Parts: sequence; structure tokens; C-alpha cells
Amino acid sequence: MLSIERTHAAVVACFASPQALDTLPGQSGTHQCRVASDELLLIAPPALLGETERSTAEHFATAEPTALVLDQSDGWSAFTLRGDEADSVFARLSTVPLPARRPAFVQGAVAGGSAKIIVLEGCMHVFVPSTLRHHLAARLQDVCGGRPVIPAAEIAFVSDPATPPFQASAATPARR
Amino acid sequence: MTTTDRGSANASFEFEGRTIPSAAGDTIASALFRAGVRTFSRSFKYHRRRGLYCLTGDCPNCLMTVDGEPAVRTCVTPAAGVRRVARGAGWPSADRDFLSILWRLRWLMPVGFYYKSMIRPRWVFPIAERVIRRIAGLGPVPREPSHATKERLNHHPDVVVIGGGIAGLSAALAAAEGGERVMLVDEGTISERNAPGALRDRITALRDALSRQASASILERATAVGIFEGPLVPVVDDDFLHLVHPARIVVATGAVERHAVFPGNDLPGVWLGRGAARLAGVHGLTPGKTIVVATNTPEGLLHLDVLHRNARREGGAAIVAAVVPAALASRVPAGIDVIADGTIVEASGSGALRSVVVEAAGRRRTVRCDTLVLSLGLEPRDGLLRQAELEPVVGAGDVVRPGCSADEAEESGRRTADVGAAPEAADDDVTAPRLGSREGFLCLCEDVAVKEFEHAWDEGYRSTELLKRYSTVTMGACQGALCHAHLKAFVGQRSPGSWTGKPTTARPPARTIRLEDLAAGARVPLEHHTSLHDRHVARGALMDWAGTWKRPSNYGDVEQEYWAVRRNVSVMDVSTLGKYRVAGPDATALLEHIYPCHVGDLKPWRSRYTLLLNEAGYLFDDGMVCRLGDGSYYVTFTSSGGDGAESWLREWTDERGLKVHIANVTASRGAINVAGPKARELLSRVSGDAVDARAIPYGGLREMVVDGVPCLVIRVGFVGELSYELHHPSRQSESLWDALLDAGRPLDIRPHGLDALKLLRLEKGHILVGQDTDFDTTPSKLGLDFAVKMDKPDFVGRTALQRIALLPRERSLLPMTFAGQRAPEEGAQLFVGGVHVGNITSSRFSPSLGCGVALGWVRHPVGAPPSRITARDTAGDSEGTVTKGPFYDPKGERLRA
Repeated sequence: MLSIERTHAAVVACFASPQALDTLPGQSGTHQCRVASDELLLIAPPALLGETERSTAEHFATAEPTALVLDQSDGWSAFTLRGDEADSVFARLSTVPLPARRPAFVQGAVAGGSAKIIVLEGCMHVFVPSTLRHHLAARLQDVCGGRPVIPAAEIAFVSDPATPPFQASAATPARR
Repeated sequence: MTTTDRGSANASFEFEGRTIPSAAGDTIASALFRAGVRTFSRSFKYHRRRGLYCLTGDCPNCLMTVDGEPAVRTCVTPAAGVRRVARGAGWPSADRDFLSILWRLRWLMPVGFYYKSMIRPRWVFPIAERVIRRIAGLGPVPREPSHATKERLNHHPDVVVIGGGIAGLSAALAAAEGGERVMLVDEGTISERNAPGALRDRITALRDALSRQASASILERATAVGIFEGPLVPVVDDDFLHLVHPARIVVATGAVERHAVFPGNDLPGVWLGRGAARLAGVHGLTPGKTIVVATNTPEGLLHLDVLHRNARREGGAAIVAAVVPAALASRVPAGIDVIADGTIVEASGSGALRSVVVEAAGRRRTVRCDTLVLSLGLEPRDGLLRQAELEPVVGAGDVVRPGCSADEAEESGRRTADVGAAPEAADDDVTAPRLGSREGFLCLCEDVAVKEFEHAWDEGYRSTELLKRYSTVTMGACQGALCHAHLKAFVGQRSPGSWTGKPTTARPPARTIRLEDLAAGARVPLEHHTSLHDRHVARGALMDWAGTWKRPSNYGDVEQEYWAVRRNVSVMDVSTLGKYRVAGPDATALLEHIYPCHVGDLKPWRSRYTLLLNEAGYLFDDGMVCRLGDGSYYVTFTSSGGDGAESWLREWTDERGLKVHIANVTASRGAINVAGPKARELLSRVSGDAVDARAIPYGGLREMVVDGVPCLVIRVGFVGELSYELHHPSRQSESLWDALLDAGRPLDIRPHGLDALKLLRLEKGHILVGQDTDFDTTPSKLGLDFAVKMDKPDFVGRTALQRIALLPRERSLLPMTFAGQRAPEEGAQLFVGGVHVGNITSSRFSPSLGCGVALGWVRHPVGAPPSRITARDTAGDSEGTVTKGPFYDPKGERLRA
């Protein structure tokens, strides 16, 4: 069984020293995904964009004034894959191994383009640059045997109610 | 009982005009053999008849074209589902091949003959090459486009085991029982290649035990292509190109029966023991009526037993002689003539085997027979193992110890699960094969005999690697499975102990595979779209590739688009530009280092044209730097250079330990260029912010709200008119684009694409990196010295430019005009006084100037570029004038308005 949704999320990128990033407190409804030691993506439902950007900027104004906080929401498109076929479909488009322990955050090439993936129990959110949205949609269609698996409409990203927001880096399992 | 159930012959395929029935379990080869086919192919060079030989997929004899695909191994390919089969070579047919006369003319074609004959006079070889290509080879490659839709599938097991025999199954089972995730791969159907009996039962039991392990998966009829760095093991089956990324690899690919060398060893009727036994035991077919079995191994005696029972069961066939060591003679079934300690020295027949000559106790004896079965030892099928020098790979079973028993193979496999143990060493004590007579074929794939090796040796090719390349031995379909041992033995006998006799390098693919399988999942190129893509398509734009982007070349009328920019106002989607925020305490230091221009003196809300030079001083990209505030910049690069520029920024940040944040905003920021004399008027209609020259001077930038969309507006001049780039959140591109087109309607607005852009910028003499530049282009060759400040203490490429400045400049990119309505073609060659001096890189007819304008590379005396020049293209010569400066608006008054 497989379902694929096109989703749009609030994505706030934070660039600061590792120590400063470590001090950012958890925010309600927001996943913290550590891309690199000095780069963090905050991923949340679109309705939380303003609050996330504001509170993050406020934090770094004190913690590290030279930090850079950017709204990158328009730069990412997401596809949510659900069902027991999700892992197999992903394996057709990426060499990135999906960790057994979940939730997790991994990154690597998907369908030839760079991607960030939030891996949960029973579903995964694959974020690709918005310039590759149609490319990934077409490839998903290809690897699903041409089935019309992707709805035309985009919906707002929602945090999985079964999975509280977590903090994870690509190298280590998530912590809550 | 056999695996092939002849009682259920309910399928068939076409074979060269005949309908061939096939039974359940049949391979194509077994179905053809049952139907009486004995000539399965013609050899590569001499067009000799070839019959079935190995039945394990190792030799070239059974290769046929199946459903349009050449070089299919019919002895291991199921007949089920096949529609049409044909032999590849033979004129007019494989049964009656006129080209078999080449065997009689073999004295004209020694090894390497094509390097020595047919080359004088020189016109001979192209003709000879066409003829050779027509008469050699394995069959035509399909011409029609492939409609394959095979995808890739990635796997990440802890261990992959290649080979589903006893050793491989045991290795996989031991690993699974130890808690590892295991994938086992076999190129056939496990257990179906063995005749019913104890061995097959044992294999089946191991397979069943492995299937019950939740962490184990089995891929059958899946071919491992090779072992690559990673490690990575690509495996091809009917459904996917599986990319297996294991932590460790076990190779249990077994061994091949030794190919014996004597005259006539390639005649139809000569078999390897496993092949004959498989034909009898699995498919219930007798290989011939009068059979001689020659063996010196216990396995060979098992084959003899299978053949003997099959012959008695089927009737009309018999084992007429067994050539065995005296020590094994007692194990030969009663009633079979035993020739003790004999050696096969010749096989004879015209087109098929009729007799063999056996030498024993110093005497030769001719035995009339139509079938000779040889089981004379095993050679490890170790091609995959030899590919993996640095990867975590171990061997198990026959591949490291040819001829080991079933118990030894199982133990060998189980031992691989102990990852801490030393890997089992390959058995070095394998007796080298005997090479026999000079006329015997060493290599069945390439028709190479022993005497041809001797010729090559006499010519100086005295190592395995050289002999391989000169004779093409081991380079055919078998990839050395049958002949590599003989190659080593030949060199080893002549240079004992020398490094020249070492095994040749094994390279993928280990088996013949289709290119379309390697391309599985990779046939779709990465394609970037801007947020305005649908708008362009809806407007009827001709979309074309620009790097990895699809961009509009034009909207149907290039000339109108051009005039819209020159006379009114136009918009262009430039969202493809590489766009980055660069900020932090060391941001200025970083940009000062990577750019040859000054950055520190740039005032806030000002921009500057920039070059990117590598350490050799050569240009590899250009763009803009915009200062937003203290330590805060917005930089742009070309659409195709953005990724490389980002890497460049990050490398130097790390190299110098700088505190800089670099954010790629290419996707999150759209950009629309508004250009033309009425650009300011248009912006004033859609924004309440000031847009006059004082608010946004040339080279300036400011934040504005345009039709409700927050924009960073940068004043630019690439096309030579008043222009503004509106950088904005990409999700609002469509509404901004629509608003501009709507508000611009009274101003005769129309969008323009790349075709118009290329003409517009050329009229200003602006370069396109990659089109007008080479890998070794310095700024001075382009007349861009203004963008390089040698008074800076340091920047990337500075030292190189200092050295280059000491050399005379004898080549420059020069602007030139050509009178008349036709501009020379891009790529046209340039001449001065009849002497070739260079080539044109960019060229268009200029509607504004009424002549052709071009940029071209010209060699010239130092400091003295020519004034007149001739361009030569496919339409002829055009006379041109070398000019200075931009062709259009040389003083830049229009773009600085």
C-alpha cells in the first residue's frame, strides 16, 4: 500500500556556530534537523512560519548576533510517502540507507537531486529544492509503474501527531 | 526423473523458420537440441561449427539472438516466453556457411594480422574493416530505440553472497543465523541446474532454510555485474538494476570445468562433463549415441554414471570407452571399455565429431564416437573475486578450493560468517592445464590456437597482459573462464616464476550485459524548473535545455522580443541565476579573497560586476556582488555555474578557517529582469516606492514592494538598456510576473527568451562564460582588466596573473562587425591575409546596427590586433572589421539612464 502527498512546509534555515545552534530550544510543532555542524533546518507546518522565524531570530540576537536566520520555505517542496511500500519506492530513487531507528533525519541524493528526508514510523517526508518538484513527482510516477499516485493539489505539512517534534542530525539518531 | 517435464510440452518458439516445441523446465538450448539442432553457432573468426559445450553459461558456443537481442546464452536461458531465436553468424546460414572457407585460409590470418596486412595502401583498411565487421561478430545489435523502463533498486544488506551453491547458501545461512541482513544472488535458478539426487536435495534444503530467515532475501536469475569501490555490487535481473551496498561480500561463484586443448577440441560433439551430465540428468537428453568419457576426477566419474544410466534408460546410446587414471578404473561401470592413464590427443570429424585419438602407454588408438565428454579438473570462476582487491571480499567453496567436496564447501561457506577469521586462501596447488598440440584452440571465443600464442611470443609479446591484448584471449564472452588458465600456463612454462605470468586484471562486467540495463533509472536527466515554468509553457514558449534547467528560448518571435527590449519594455525569467546569501564576521574577507575586484570599499546597497578566477588565473564564472550591510552580502553567479561557485566559496571558507555563513537561496528566490527604455515607467505603475535614478542608480539596489511582493531590486545592464532585476520569494513569482505583464500592456510589453538575450548582450560586447571563454581565458584576453585590481595584496589567481602579465599577449577575444544581412556562423574560422588566426564564438545579425556583430578569438602580434578579418563558414567567406568597445550604445548612456 502506498500514498503520496505533495506538501508545503515552513522551513527556516539557521546558520550559526555549533555551540550556538546547540542552545536553540525546542519549539512547539517544529522539527529541528541538523544539516551540518553549523546549519540547522527548522521544519514546521506553514502556519507556524512567522512564530518560528521570530522566536529563532530573537534567540540568536542574544546567543550569536552574527548568526543568519532565513525563511527558506519557498525553496523546498516536500513529498510525504506513507504505507508499507514507501521504503521500497524510496530505494528506487536513492542510495541513501534508511535507518532502522526512527524518527530520523537523513540527507543525500534522491532522483539525482539533493534532498532532506525526515523518516518516521510508517511514513517519510522527502524535501527537495522547489526547482525539482516536478522532476521528483515524475520520477515517483515512473517508479510506481506510471500509477497516478500524486495528487495535483498541494497540502500543508502537518507534524505527525504520533511523533512529537524531535531534534536530529544526519549522523545520529533523533532525540526528543 | 528430470527437471524438464516433456509430458507438458505446451509452448514453442520460432527458430529460423521452424517451430520448436519446448517443455516446462527447458532452456532454449535444450529445446533446440531435442529438436535435432547440433550446430549452435559459427566461431568468431574462422566460422567453424560449434555445438553445445558447457551448459553453464561459460563458453560462447550457444550464443544466439533471442527476440532481437544478440549474444544470449541459450544454455541457461529458459525457453518459456521466448518468441524467436536465430543464430548470429553464417552466410547464407549457420548450417551451410560459405565463410567457413576462412578456416582453410587461416595461414593468411595469424594473430594480429590486421595490424600488419591490409594497411598499405591506406585506402585498403577502411574497406577491409567494413568487411571484417560484417563477417565477424555475434549478431546485429537492434537499431530501434529501447523502450526499456527498468528502474534501479538500492539495497543495504550487511552481507551479499554471490552464488547459490552449497558454499554460498551455507555462507548466507550462517550470516543470517548470526543476525546479519543477508542478500544472496544467483544467476540461475538455485537447485534446478543439478540433476535430481542427493546433491540437489542438499542444496534445496539449504535454500529452504535460508528462505525461512526473516533477515535474508534471495535473488535468482540475477547476474552480479562486478564489484566496485564502496563496495557496490550491481546485479541485473528482469525487473531491476539492483544496486547492492553491502558491508561485506562473499563470492561463491564456484568453478568451471577445465577446457582441454587438442586438435578438434571445438568440434560439435565435444562436451564438458557438467554440460553433458546436465543435459542428461536435468533435461533427460543423451548428448550422443557413441560416447567417450575422459576424466581424472571423482566428479567426472559421477558424470560418467549419469550418462551411463541415461544411455541405458533412453536406449540407442552407449558409453563406448572411458579414459581414466588406472587408480579410478575400478569405479567405471561394468561393460564400458576402460583406457587407463590415457590422454586425448586429437578429435576428428568434418563438421562434427567422428572419432578421437587416445594415447596411452606410448601407443595411439582411434576410437570411433560422436560424443566426447571431458572432466579433467576445475578452474575457479574467480573473475569477481579478482576484481575486488581493496574491498571486504572473501571467497568460499570451489572458487578458492576447486574440487572440494560438498561437506568442505559447506564448511567453507559457514566459516565466512566469522568476520574476524582470516579469509580462506585460494588453492595455489591447482595443476596447470596441459596445452597439448599447437593446433588446439586455447580460446573458443576468439578462435585462438596454441600456435598463435607461439607466434605472438616470438614477436615479443611475453607476458599475460601483452598476450591478452595482442591475441584478445580472455576478452571474449567467457571473459577468461575457459582460457585464462591456459594463458597463465603458456607464459608460466616459458618464464617460470616470473611476474609476467601473473593473472590478468579482471574488470567488470563479469558477464555480458545490456547497456540499457546499466542505464536503468538513469535515463531521466535532472531537470530544474523555475516557478514560472508553467507560465512560459502556457504562453507557447519554446523550452530548451540550458544546463540542467529548462528555459524559454523564445515565445515565437525573436525579433519582436528583441525590439521590445530596445524600444519599449520586456521581462525575462532569470530565476535560474545562482543566488547566495553570504554573511558573518569574515564574509568580507572571504569575498575579497575569491574575487579579483575590491569588495571592502563597496558601499551598502551597491553592487559590482565580479569575476571568479581559479588559481591559474583563468576565468570560470562571473556574476554580481551586492552589499546589504556590514558583513552581509547577496551574490549571484551564472545559471550553470552556481553549484561550482558555491563549492568554491565553501572550500575557501574551510581552507582559511573563516567564520562565514553561506546560504543557497537559488530555489527560494525567484528573479525577473525588467528591461527597456520604459522599464522605470512600468515599475512605477506597480510599486509605490521610488524608482527614479536617484533612488536606484546604476549599480544600486534597494528593497521595494512590487505589486505587494517584497523584492530586492538590483539595477543591472547586461542587455544594454535600463534594467532592473527583481529578486523575490519564488512562490510569488507567478503573481509578480502576471502583474508586470498586465501593467505593461499599454507599454507594449512582451517577455523575451534566451535567443533575444544572446543577441542583446552580444550587441553590448558582453561575454557568455563557456561560450566565449576557454579553460585558459584570463581577464586581460577578454578586455576585462577593469574587473581585476592588482593593487589588492592577495586574491585567488593573483600570483598567476602576475606571471602571465610578463608574457606577450598574442591572443585576444575581439569584437568585429560584418557588413550585409548575414552574420557568419558561430564557430566560423578567422583568417588574416589568408593565414588562419582563430574562430568566432558568438555571432548574430544586429537589427539595430544593420550588420553582423561577432566576438572571436584572434591570434595577433603583440599589441597589434588586426583591423580587417575574414570569416569562413559553410556558406563561404565574409569580410569583417575588428572594432573596439561595445557595438551598441558604446558610451552606455541607455543603460545608465
